Amino acid sequence: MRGRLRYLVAAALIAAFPLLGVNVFYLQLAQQVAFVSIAVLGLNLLIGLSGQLSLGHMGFYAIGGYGSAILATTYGWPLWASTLAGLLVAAIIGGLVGIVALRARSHYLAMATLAFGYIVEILAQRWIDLTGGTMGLFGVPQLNFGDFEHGGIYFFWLVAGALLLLQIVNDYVMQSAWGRNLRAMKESESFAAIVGLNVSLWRFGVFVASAVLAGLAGVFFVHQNGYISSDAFNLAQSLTFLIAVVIGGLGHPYGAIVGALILTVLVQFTAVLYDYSLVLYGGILLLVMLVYPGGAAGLLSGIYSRLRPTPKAVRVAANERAELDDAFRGRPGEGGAGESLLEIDNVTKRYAGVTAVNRVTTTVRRGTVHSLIGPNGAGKSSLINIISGLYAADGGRICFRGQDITGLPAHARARLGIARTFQNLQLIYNLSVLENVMLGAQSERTGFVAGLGRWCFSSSFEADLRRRALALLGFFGLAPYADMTPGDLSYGHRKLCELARAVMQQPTLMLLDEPIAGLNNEEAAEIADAVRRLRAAGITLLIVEHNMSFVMDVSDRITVLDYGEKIADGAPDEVRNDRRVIDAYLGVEAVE
Amino acid sequence: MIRVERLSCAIGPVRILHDIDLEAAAGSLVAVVGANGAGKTSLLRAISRLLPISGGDILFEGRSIRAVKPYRLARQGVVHVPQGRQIIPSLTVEDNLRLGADRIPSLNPENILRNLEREYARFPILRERRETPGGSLSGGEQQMLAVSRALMMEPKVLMLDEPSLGLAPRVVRAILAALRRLTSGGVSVILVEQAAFAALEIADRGYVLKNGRIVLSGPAADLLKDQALIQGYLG
Amino acid sequence: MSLPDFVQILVTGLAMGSIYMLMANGLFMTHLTTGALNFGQGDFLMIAAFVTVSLLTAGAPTFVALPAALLVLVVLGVLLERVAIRPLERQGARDSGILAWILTTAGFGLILENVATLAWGKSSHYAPPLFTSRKENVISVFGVGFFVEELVIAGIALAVIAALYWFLYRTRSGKAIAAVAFNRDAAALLGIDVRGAIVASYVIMALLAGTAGMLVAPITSVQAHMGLIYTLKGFVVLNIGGFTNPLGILVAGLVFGVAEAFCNYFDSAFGDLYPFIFIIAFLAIRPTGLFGEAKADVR
Repeated sequence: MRGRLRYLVAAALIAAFPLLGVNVFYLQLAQQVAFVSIAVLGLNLLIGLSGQLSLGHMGFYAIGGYGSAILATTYGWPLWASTLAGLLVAAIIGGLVGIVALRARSHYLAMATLAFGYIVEILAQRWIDLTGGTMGLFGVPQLNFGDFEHGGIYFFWLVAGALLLLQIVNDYVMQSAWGRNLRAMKESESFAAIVGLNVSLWRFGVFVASAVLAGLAGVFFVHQNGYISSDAFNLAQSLTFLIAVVIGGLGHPYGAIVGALILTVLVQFTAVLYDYSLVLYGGILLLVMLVYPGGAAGLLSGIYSRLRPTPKAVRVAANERAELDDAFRGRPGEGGAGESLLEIDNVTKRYAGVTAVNRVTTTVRRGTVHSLIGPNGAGKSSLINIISGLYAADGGRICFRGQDITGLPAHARARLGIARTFQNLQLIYNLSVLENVMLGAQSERTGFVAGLGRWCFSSSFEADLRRRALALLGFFGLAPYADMTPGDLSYGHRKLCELARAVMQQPTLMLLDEPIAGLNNEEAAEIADAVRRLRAAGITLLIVEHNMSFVMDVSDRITVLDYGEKIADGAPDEVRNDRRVIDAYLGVEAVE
Repeated sequence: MIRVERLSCAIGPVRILHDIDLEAAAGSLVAVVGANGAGKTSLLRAISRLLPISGGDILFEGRSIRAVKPYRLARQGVVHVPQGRQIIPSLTVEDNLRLGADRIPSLNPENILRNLEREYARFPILRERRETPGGSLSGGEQQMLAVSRALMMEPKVLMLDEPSLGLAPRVVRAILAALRRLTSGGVSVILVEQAAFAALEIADRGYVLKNGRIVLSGPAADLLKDQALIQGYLG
Repeated sequence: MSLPDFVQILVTGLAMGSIYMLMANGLFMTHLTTGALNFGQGDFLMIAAFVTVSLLTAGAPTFVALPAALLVLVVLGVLLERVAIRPLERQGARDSGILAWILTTAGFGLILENVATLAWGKSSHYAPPLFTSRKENVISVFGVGFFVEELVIAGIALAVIAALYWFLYRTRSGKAIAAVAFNRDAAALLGIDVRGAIVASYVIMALLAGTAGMLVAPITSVQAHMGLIYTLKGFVVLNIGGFTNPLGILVAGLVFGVAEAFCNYFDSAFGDLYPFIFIIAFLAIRPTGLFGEAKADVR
């Protein structure tokens, strides 16, 4: 339970705070900080982790709040029912907007959510029969458990307690595969797809969750004071949430609480400087974004980590050899060596007037190293992209283990046992080298609640996963860099890191796109060695390269492409002496 | 006309070029060859000032150009045709052709018109497609357009990054021949190519790059004598 | 609905649609060169409206007031690029990404709003009509009457967009901007002053927002917080029109304005919501707008 002490301390503080004889005004302020934190927490997950921009989140805040307030006040529902109903409505509307979020990206999503927020604002203002408009709804029951005198204290415990629980869940998400996956998706959807993540589903889930959290905050808001007016729910309020999340620290685990705190203090402070409040707001926004985009929590973290001693040197576990064999094992599948694993049948791809791949046909056999070579622009990478599912072919079929996968999305193909690396490297620079490798292990994710339990109470959370990843890094000579980010690594090491991630997927088929481009001779030899070990472990490899000697060295079979067409296909010796291959490689005939 | 002295470039902690020495005299054609990732493109980008220099210097007509902005260098006559064509898809072929030339102060409208006719004569397909948007041309046609666009600017130094990519051999021959003819007009040409031997055949001097360093250099004819050696460096 | 009513609503719709369309084109320009949208553009509109109102009510003639407002806006445009956009490029791709320029431009806008309240107070101001002697100046064509002012607004906006289109596609500088929008490095290698082109695009944005401000001033109430709704509608129009072509945006703007006007006629309480609801649904079906290009299915 190390590191979990802070939550007990927090719980104690929450329990003690109202009993210290605090002035009602400050108690209310504390309540406000708490439920604003909840809304901002959701926004932090949405924007910071999953990279979806919502500029109208106030809308869910309003929906949750009004939902509960109207049911409780106008229709007399008991509070436990009305609050749940409010959350349900927020979830449903969140789902509807979330569907738009799936289709629309960046600007379009920003606009759609902005429009949504505006719609809610107008409805709140003008649907007076329902909401009371700007005049408001009076007599909204308060969440004071029937005790008026001490109700404020109970309310505070309720809200702060909810915040604490949500913060715990938030921390779990950020420290586990859930958070890693979200951060990976945010940085590169292609990467996420090829490790097996259904990006759309994840994005949708996070969107709905953040809508529910905003709705919960809204519920607390309306039941705080017994009165709500539509003045509280306008576009500027959405901006306020955004300001809080950025000033606090986008993506930082405590960014929400810090941001809500600073915001509340700021509002109180600028109430005094009323005439200059907007200049202050605007100035702070500009300043934070330009000078310290990591926000206050980021700043504090930076200071904190400078004061702490440097992390312990990374040690590879004693039974490294066992771990390594474990890591190198391909996924078991039926069929013996030599039979056909991947069939590429008349695949064609055209774009921008160019036929990049022209009716290419070949077969990759299980347990072999099959290379795809050809001069620059020959269509090799396009073919790999088609096989892994990132491009759609314009013609032809792809069969894997006898199954037609031509129509399958990339993440489904990854789940079937296909792993790949990229020519341009797709590493996640926001995560550490170790975490990048751990991203490969998608098939073994535990359930959310089970994982939460282990994270809270066990000291061996993800220990197994880490050990395996570390062993792999050790094999590739990257163990000392495990806690650095890929940006700190040399180009050669980055390639090895990506290779380690692909091996971590325990694939049946590995697609390597120019694995030794930019590497020196020793590094290239290491890769060749790794390729042979992978084949010995039962993994089949399809390698794209145009370095002839490397290819001749490791391949069992070679297919040669030129201008998108297959010009040779056979054992290395055959291909080496093929006239067409020599011509294509060494350039055009001599200039007159 | 271009001299590179002990040039080093780094992006963050990663060193891309180490101590490069290179010279492209007026009227000569220099071939730079090497495997993928060897640093050929980075070298051109450093010379055209798109890449910051961390050590050494680059001299154009005897003057250091370390502090010159890329667009000014282009206007002074050092023209870099980058890899990947970079044709503005929304502008017509003719607009693309004029784009660079319009910005050269020493070219007046008559010069530009004359250059236009010359390029249309060189690549008749461009005249056929002069009013079509650049984005609808095939890869090969775009490559021709990119080369012509640079020639329109009447460069003193012309640098090309893999101009043969995606082109039929006949077209490649035409381009290489044009480059050869340019040098007789006093222009320096730096040619980066994957088709190493074809480039060396028309070059005066050759440089072989590997992992950001020059591993072999000298008169092109000498380098061509030992093809196996070169092949080793290419992969 | 009678014919006179129909024509009146149509004209009003065209006028407001023109305003939205000008705003959308302003957003388009900055997006073209820097990928950023000025979330405080509505505040640019507001400043132009206020300057126009102040000068006109102080007695300045139209041909002095309008250029003066535009001049102020040019300064703001240059300032915005320098302060809120350029520094972000140095940071490179960070966590905040798209959020960064949303917040810096929004922050800049907030400062403008505060400047406005300090300079002109918090109450609404009203501008005299620009092009007619009395606000209610109505002309009659075939027995149908409508406000001249509104028609002139639409006409001027159309002329401005025609000029913008001509500039972007027929002049050297416009083509240079297209090159910069496509790829900055390639443009620089062709001798194009990339930074200059970027600043120019921000100045154009400011001019468009300024024109919208001075045109809208006589037909609405001018107050410090009027801007956000115009930014929002401009953004919506830009999305409908697609991010590629000022003419597509023009069509989208006019359609939006007219639709909004008719919706308001039929439902005065919630009329202006229908276009927004429609937009959200529309985006779910066609995420790239009416005229936008779908991205190729590549990595």
